[in-house]
Amino acid sequence: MKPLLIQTATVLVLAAVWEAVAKSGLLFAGILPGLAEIFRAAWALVSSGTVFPHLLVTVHEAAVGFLFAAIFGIALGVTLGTHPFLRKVFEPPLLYFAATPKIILYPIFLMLLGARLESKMAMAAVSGFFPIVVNTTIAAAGVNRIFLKVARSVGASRIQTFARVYLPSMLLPVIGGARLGIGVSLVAAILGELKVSNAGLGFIIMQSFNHFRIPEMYAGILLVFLFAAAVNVTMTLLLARCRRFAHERAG
Amino acid sequence: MGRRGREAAARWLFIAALLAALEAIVRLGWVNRIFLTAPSLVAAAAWEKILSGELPALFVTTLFSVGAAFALAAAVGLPVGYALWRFPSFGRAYDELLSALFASPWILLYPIFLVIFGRGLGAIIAMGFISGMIPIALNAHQGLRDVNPIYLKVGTGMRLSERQIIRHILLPAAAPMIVSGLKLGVTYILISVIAVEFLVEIGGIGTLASKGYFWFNTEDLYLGVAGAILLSMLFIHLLGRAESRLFSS
Amino acid sequence: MTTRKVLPAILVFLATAVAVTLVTAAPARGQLQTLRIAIPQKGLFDTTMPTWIADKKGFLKDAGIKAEIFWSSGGAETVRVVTAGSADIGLATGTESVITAFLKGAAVRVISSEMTGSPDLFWLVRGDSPYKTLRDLDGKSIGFSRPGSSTHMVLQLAAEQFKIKPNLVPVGAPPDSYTALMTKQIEAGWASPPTFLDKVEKGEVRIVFRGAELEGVRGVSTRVNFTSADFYDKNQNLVKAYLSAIKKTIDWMYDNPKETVAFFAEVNQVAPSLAEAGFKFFPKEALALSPVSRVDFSVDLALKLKMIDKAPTAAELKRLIVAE
Repeated sequence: MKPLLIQTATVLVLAAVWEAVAKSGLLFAGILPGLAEIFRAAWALVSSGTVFPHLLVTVHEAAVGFLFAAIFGIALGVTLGTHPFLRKVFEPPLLYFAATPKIILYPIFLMLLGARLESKMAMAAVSGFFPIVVNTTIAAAGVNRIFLKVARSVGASRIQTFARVYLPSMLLPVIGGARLGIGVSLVAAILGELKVSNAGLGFIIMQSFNHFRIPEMYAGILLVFLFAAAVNVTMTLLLARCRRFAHERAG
Repeated sequence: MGRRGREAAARWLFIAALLAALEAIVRLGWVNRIFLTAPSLVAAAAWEKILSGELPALFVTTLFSVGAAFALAAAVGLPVGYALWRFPSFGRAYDELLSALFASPWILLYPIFLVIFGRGLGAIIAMGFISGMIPIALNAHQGLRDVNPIYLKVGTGMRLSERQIIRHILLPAAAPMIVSGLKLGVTYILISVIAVEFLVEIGGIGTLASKGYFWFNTEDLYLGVAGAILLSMLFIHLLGRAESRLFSS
Repeated sequence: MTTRKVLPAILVFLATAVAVTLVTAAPARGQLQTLRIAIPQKGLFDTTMPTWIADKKGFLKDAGIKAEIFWSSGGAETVRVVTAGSADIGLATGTESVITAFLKGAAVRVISSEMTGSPDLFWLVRGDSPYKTLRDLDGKSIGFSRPGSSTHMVLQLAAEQFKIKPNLVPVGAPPDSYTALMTKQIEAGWASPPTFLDKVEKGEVRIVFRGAELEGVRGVSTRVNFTSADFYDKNQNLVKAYLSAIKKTIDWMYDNPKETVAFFAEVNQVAPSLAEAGFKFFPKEALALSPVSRVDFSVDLALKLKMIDKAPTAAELKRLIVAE
């Protein structure tokens, strides 16, 4: 049986089970609304335009956060990758830190940056930073020694070495790290919104929950999933495009 | 001091310098004490909580949630990984689905878990289960797939039963990948447990940070943050040691 | 870089700087002063309606105020929002919470009372359960929001008043409380109007106790409005203007109940009949902005809940409470 067939069948079966549980009253009515109700609520959110200002806020938070994460992540990654001693000193703690739940830092950001967008941007930045710095470090350290020697022997300047040797070699891993980084930045921003916020997709979800408008809450979650999937697909396509570019260049 | 020693020393020096700077900033009164607190005060609060038993209780709660979630995740994930390998078309299909689910922001579904499992450890363990089950299953699947088919042919050639092949050939060959998956699983479980403890204030070390923040107990807040980070680091360190010891032969 | 490249760059930079300055300066030179207000639990009658109606009916505009509202989800968060600088005024926060924050170093000032007594809370039991009054719930599990909240306090006092020993369970917000109730995790859950009044009407749940029945809390300012000390020192007139606008609004609200109910229904997106039922929970005296009375009660509460370990001195209280 083809995998696609199995996947489609699985999704359909899960949807049927959801619908059955929702209608059966096993969990008391209201906790698990039927799929039709959820889609209707999602459509209402989109068609009324309610969701767009909030979507914009979340995207704004994630984008700014990701920008900071990328700038600092790449800068630190290149530094560590090109200075072996620094790398040996700081890479292990970085890896340890990368595996901690960044949400625990959220109250600190709330205190220092306030309850509005800035604290969510900081959450996005801290979360997105780690995949980028880890990948960039490995990429920078992995640049072929021989190419560097060749560049030095032909008298290439720092900038030329960077543009002609480092950049092409590092492009793929760094973009790979960026793809991971964007995903976690987005989720981090929304998690922050779920706890303390006044705008954004997470805010919509929490408001619906607090006012017991459960179908609307699920609708908000559905929209978040769809958006995250869209971002992921875009980045994957970008990665594929870069991969082709790198292969053409290498030839 | 060898090279390794120099690196470790540099690291500790860096951390010590950071802590000293923090201590100085707070003692000099440059920052309001509801925003930042001195490491020494956090340590004092930690000691007080250790003596009162509060801190050990919090760690135990968190570790219990992680342990329970891990037991469930391994109990389900390993057989699932095997099933994915045994039935290849299902394997290909569910590999993609599970990866997609794992990469999705499913943790945002936590209000739903709360509603279904109640506002208690059940919800946390359920979410931990999902965080751990998927990487364990996927890694087990990958590990089994990576086993050189020649080994299996050797097994059938020696007329071993399926169970013997699994026990003596498959599992040992796939073991590194499986263990790596278990390690990943625990890591992700710990992250999601602490995250939900923080978001929902149900108990454990994550809740200490949240409560500390909202009730202006700055020492508790930073204690919770430090505790969560140290717990994560300890876990990874111990897991790494266990892994290398398992495969050092 | 040659002059040819530099000059345009400088011009663009200057133009941008001028544009940004104009855009950001404009509101400051406008007629209305922006007041950022943190309001907990959007939709709750006493927390939301006075400011909401004051805004919609133009009472705030008459006072020269433009309100920018930040909705928070509960007491302690509201204090944090204000101390973090994301809002100037915080409304409707438990008095014991504000006292605690103040003693722990938060620079806040109480500017008025917000709620006297606890008429805004009620407890529900399942429609098919046998309980008629709170006395029937001796030894049973009753839900409240979180430790240190007004729901917690009211329950403890109610247990004393009715001489029962229930098992108090923290369940979170009304939706969580309702879910816990219906899934039989607790025997009685809390709510605040107008949430779940529709379920009461349908008979799915029954009100077993109202906060208004509680004697121990009568005459106590259970919730207060506050601001950051810094903001108060620099904007006393603005704060006074806001408070008098709110007082005017409250008078208007009870002189025009039909319109008030309509606003209430609109904010909560519920039927007017439910909004009306909810409105009935709130006597006008409960919303009085002054006096801030029986602070000793809140201090005792904070001590009992171990939020603080020693009572504030009279001097400290004087510094904290600047309300008239």
